[in-house]
Amino acid sequence: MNEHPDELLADLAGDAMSGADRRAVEAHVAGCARCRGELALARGARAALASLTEVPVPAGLGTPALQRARPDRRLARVLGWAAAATTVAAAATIFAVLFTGGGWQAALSPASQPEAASPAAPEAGQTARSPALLSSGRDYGEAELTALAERIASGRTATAASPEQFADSKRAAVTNSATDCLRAAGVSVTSTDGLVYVEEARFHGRQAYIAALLNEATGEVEVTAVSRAGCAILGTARASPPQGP
Amino acid sequence: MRNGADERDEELVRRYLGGDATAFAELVRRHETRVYNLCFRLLGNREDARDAAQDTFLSLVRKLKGFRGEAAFSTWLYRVTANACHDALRRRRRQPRTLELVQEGPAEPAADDDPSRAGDAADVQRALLQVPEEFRAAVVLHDVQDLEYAEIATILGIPVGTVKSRIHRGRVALARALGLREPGEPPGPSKGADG
Repeated sequence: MNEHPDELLADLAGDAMSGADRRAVEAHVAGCARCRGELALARGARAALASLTEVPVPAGLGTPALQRARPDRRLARVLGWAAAATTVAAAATIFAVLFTGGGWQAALSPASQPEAASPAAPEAGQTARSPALLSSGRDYGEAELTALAERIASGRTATAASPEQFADSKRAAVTNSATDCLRAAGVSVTSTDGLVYVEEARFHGRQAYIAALLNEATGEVEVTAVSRAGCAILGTARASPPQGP
Repeated sequence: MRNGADERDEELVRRYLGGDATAFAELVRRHETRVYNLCFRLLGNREDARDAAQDTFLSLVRKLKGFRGEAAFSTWLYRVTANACHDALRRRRRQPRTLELVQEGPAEPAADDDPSRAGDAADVQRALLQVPEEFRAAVVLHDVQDLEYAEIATILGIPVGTVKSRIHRGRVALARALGLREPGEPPGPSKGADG
């Protein structure tokens, strides 16, 4: 035992040694002032650590995580917007506008070529449960976010026209990525705050998901821009449905 | 009634991934004390410990689908916890602020009826924060959390031999920070670890 056997001193100080091993280390320690001194210190440290007791957990420690681990999570991951939302009339109206192709292409005309060019028409059953997806190079700012929130809240929503639409095979992946990113940023995506719109775009030049959540009960819409790298919230806008005539 | 009180963690993970959020709540309930205490010992104050523990459970929501069961769930969770604490310490170094005093006095449940014990614990916790981070993690996991060398090796991603030597170096550093002296060592400024 030529070098100082730190590893074995850990065992010895912790009384985790017996037999020949223990005798060998003890023989070394007997002849090594450095190890003898350290062994005494290590034993003193262990005795001191024994004074540490368990501290109580603050109330609500798990709440943020539990809020993001709702039962609808898996369903939402598979279906995009949870099936529960499909029973809501207001939502159905919005989806009808979303997928019948409206007059909003001009307003949302992408500034660069779409990422996925497959124009495959979405199947009706699948479509009604998924958020509108769109890839554009559009660069959003606060004003554009607000405008989008108001359009969706008023039912005059953006259309996911075929040139900008994702291939079916990519829809779930994009929806999941956006949903995970929103949750990572602290946005609560649930069956009552359903994801109705996802756009891969930019916000002040940074690659971002522009996502809209619709509250099925109030009809309120929240649009969030979240960075695709790092999932940080870059901007938000809210809008309520128009009141009266 | 506790949900799945005698179910294995790994079974709860499977149930959660199958869509049962109550299984996730049970995992949090089972592990929050150990996770929070590990954070508290590594970071030294309740506020940072709470943030790091919450970050840990939030990471869990995101990462659980990647849990392959190669290690026990608890081992994997402590690894996530240790990483969250490491991130918190890195942020702290980047944004130095006045550290609050170690909170271990009145809010600490009394270890026994001796009132001097709470003060001892605060001294030890303060000294622990002077131990280099990589040694501190090994010491806390072994001597406070009572984990085996092999599990610590998995949590920290280092060989067992390295775990042991870090534990030893950490204990020696802690003793020096507490002002303990080697037999025959004269009082005065403590020597370097290799003195």
